[in-house]
Amino acid sequence: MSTDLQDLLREGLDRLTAGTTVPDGLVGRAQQRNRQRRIKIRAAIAASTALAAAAVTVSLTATGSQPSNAPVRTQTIADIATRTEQALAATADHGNAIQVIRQSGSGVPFKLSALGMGGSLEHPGPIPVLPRVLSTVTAQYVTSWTYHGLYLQEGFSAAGRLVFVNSTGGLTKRQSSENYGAAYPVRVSWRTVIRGASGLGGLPALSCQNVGPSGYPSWQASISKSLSCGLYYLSGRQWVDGVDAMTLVSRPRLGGGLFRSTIWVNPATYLPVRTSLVTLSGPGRGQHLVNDFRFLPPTEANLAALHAAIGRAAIPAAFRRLHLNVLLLAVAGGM
Amino acid sequence: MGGTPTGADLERLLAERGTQLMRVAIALAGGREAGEDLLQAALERLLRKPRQVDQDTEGYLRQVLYNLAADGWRRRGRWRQRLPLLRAQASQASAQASDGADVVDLRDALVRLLRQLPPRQRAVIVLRYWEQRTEAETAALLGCSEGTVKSAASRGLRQLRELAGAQANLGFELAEGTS
Repeated sequence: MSTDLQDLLREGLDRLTAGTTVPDGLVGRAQQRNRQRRIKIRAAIAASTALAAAAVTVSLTATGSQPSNAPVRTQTIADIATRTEQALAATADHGNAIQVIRQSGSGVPFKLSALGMGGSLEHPGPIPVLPRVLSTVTAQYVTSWTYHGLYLQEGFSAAGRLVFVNSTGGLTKRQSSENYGAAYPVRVSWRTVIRGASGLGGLPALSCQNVGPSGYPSWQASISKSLSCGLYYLSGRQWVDGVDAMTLVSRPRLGGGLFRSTIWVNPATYLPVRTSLVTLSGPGRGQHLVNDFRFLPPTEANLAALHAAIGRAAIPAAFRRLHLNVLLLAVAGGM
Repeated sequence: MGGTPTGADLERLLAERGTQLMRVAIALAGGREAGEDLLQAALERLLRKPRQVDQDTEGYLRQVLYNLAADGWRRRGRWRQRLPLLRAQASQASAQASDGADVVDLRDALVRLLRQLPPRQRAVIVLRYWEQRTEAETAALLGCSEGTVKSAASRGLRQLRELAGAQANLGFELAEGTS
């Protein structure tokens, strides 16, 4: 029997799609998922940018504060929570510091994700999804720099090779800013102008019921709220990055029991040294994400390190330019 | 319908044109459940970026559908998990065909084999040979060159023949069609 493949395919697809009806509530479900997505977007941005001003607190509180090996046995979680809330609140008023966060994960690659910013981008165009060429780019860890409005993400391979750079500014100020970067393995670059942050509005206020370990709406806010709601207990002390840190472990009711979160707090500054998030159930079960925080005073040496990072992010002119209409951010496992 | 569609606009669009859109989504995704997910994903994207709808809403929604499918919007998830099952189904279908199955079985078997193609090839095949789009129209809808469409269609058909041929019991010869 000899027949034509295309005709058979056409007839097969006709049969497959025959008698189709649209299920009820499809638009409503799409709207609901968009609302959930906006919360994730806000959390991702907050996780990367919200502690920009923390370094000044380090410099202010480090002088005259207790040494890092001071005894804390008499401290209660309430005392630590209060001091940490105060330290975090102070970071919101100052920005004269270089914040560096190293984000890594156990078996969780970091991908560039296109974040929807409905109606806020300069170039509405025909690209509705993350360009395919970018979807293949993954990093094993990401270093984020924030300093005076500059925000720079660097994605590295396991061998320490620069995989992508991604820079965004002004996200929290509802003003125009730009997102630009490059993916080195595929030799492409992009630049997107963002007007305002209208796509991120209308999100729910933080409460003891909805506060989670994701950094929404900012790390300061989520950590402070979680501590004030009594969602962490003092587990003891552990050495983290040379700091004999106070270890705060989440109670099961944080995040509905889906996560186990740990915050290591510097006893000298009462700022976080590290946060850890383990997903206990759901699609991401077993994922382990770690954020290591550093708040550097703007000394010549630290500024030189920042400039070196900016220098690494130089984008060769020969790279192919992508015309994007989305905001890109690196997130664990993609979004 | 142009401008900024609201949820109510989309409800009306689905009431009027939903069947056609759902058929496209099913053809692209390879099944009813997956097609429903694809159409919902396209609606989500359209609701997120309303100002990008500078053409008619249905046209834009279709374009989003095609591009999401071509980019394998969930290929790392359930699609991959289903592949072994789909392959098993294809093998079962071929065994049935070897027992003297009729043309209907062959059509269904081919559709199942179509699901094994890479997402972009699958989208090109659906656009070119089911929706009867030209190479230029397909290229414009997928945001690629006509050459890319031509090569993807050629490779897709060749792979389908190879997949079908590999299942020696499929019981029929596939003529070289014009692509």
